[in-house]
Amino acid sequence: MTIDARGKNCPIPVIMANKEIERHVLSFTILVDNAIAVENLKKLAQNKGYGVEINGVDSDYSVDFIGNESSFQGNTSALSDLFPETNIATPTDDWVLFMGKDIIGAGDPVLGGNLIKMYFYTLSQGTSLPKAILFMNAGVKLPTTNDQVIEHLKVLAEKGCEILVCGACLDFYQLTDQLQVGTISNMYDITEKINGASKVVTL
Amino acid sequence: MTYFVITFANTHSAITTQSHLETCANISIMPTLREISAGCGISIRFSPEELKPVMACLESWSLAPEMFQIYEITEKDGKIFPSPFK
Repeated sequence: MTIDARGKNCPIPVIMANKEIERHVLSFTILVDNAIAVENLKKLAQNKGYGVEINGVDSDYSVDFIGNESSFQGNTSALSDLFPETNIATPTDDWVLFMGKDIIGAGDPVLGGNLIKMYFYTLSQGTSLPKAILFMNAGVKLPTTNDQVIEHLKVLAEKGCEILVCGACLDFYQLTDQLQVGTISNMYDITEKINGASKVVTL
Repeated sequence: MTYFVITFANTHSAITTQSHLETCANISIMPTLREISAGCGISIRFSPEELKPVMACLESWSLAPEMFQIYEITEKDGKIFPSPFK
């Protein structure tokens, strides 16, 4: 199993590797693009009772984690003790945000536009993050034309939120070439995200 | 980190002032900080670099002084320290 953490700033690669360890995956490889991430992954592996093999140079490393059954029996430190910088908000994995319009609620569109900016401002600074943010219909105007919301979405994406934007909707509003953050998606993927979440929040 | 916010006595003042300031400065919208008591939940945020254009823009804006308040916000060790500005 290979996890691609290239392009991710610390401490994201460590969080990604730790997730596999918590799932008791015995052997996996993580790809990173900087020496600091390699050092942090080595530290994580040692603490968690995994062997580690590092290959690569400059900006292209692969770090192999090799564990055995005893890896899960010792006393190990909590991730936030090992790496205080990991004590940040990360996606909580069990909820997604569905945006079917570019404002909050119904009523005055100017007020609704301000509310949506404030919502993403607050969400990007908070401790509970959705696993994915899904944009459909007029919601696709947010990751394309709303400069303030785009900035907040970039922060959320950096923290690990997946941002999926309906391709048919972008095409309808002629905004396909203006997508600033997230990936163009389709009804299949978006439906899968909704079905796989224990909670779907829509505004 | 230091930035400025403007709070308002009511939502209408916040929205009309926002539209005016957007024509002359780089601002964003944020919820009024819990640490600040204000009549309205919408605040305008801007960086120290924008202070000059924002102040110039406010001078040409006929909003009564009692309808808004500017704060300088300092964030340190996860805590927020607001202090009234002017």
